Amino acid sequence: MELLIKLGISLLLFVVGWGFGRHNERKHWAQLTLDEAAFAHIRIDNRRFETRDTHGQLVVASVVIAQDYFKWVLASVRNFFGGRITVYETLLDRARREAVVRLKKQAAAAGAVEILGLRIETPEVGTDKGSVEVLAYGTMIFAEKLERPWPPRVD
Amino acid sequence: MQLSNLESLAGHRIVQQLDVVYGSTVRSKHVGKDLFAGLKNIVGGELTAYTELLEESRQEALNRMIEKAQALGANAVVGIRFSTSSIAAGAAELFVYGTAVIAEPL
Repeated sequence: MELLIKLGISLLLFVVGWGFGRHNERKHWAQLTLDEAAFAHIRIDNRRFETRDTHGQLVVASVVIAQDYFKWVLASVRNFFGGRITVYETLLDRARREAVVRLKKQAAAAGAVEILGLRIETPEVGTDKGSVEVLAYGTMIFAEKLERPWPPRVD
Repeated sequence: MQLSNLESLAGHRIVQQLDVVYGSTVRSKHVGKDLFAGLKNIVGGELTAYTELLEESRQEALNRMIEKAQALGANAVVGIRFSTSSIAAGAAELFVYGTAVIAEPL
């Protein structure tokens, strides 16, 4: 009896995870496509020695995304047999795209035109298993030389 | 303070190279935020509380690095790198380092 209840809960979580997880993922993808199009004018570059004559400043953006129960079960099964874990690939892809979009958003808000020296990291931050953090940073470059350094000092 | 993760500072000439400066902070996740994360682990999606926590912590590490650079008399830090290490279950060190320099506009 107890076993049946446990199995029932797992099955319920599996279905709930599948439904909401799929919904969330689709919504996120749709939003990413829109955002990427909106900030396509901010160029990005990851060459180390590239520089400009105008001014720049560091920008940092990050995102933490959790997997759903459905992905967790699927990944656990895959882990046993080995092979490609597609469910995690899409999770990481979403997180990376989101981090880069946020970086572009910040640069656009500050009035910059491009980002140089882009770095993307996936640090292990000790969150729960199955959630992933992606950190993106770079140097935003302004179209013209600034009178004062960015960000403006608030005294 | 001008910050850059490039090898040089855009629009500036580096006149003096001072020292490597760094800043770090160790953060653990919050219990209240954890409960919410448990739910999110079922339905998936962004863990906004964690994102904010990590962003705040990185800013704190950056601020500490900037303080050190200011103490040296620098007006810019170049070649900035972030590094993150997990030191215990649920705790992480956020570390940032760079080279403090004196730069003048071109």
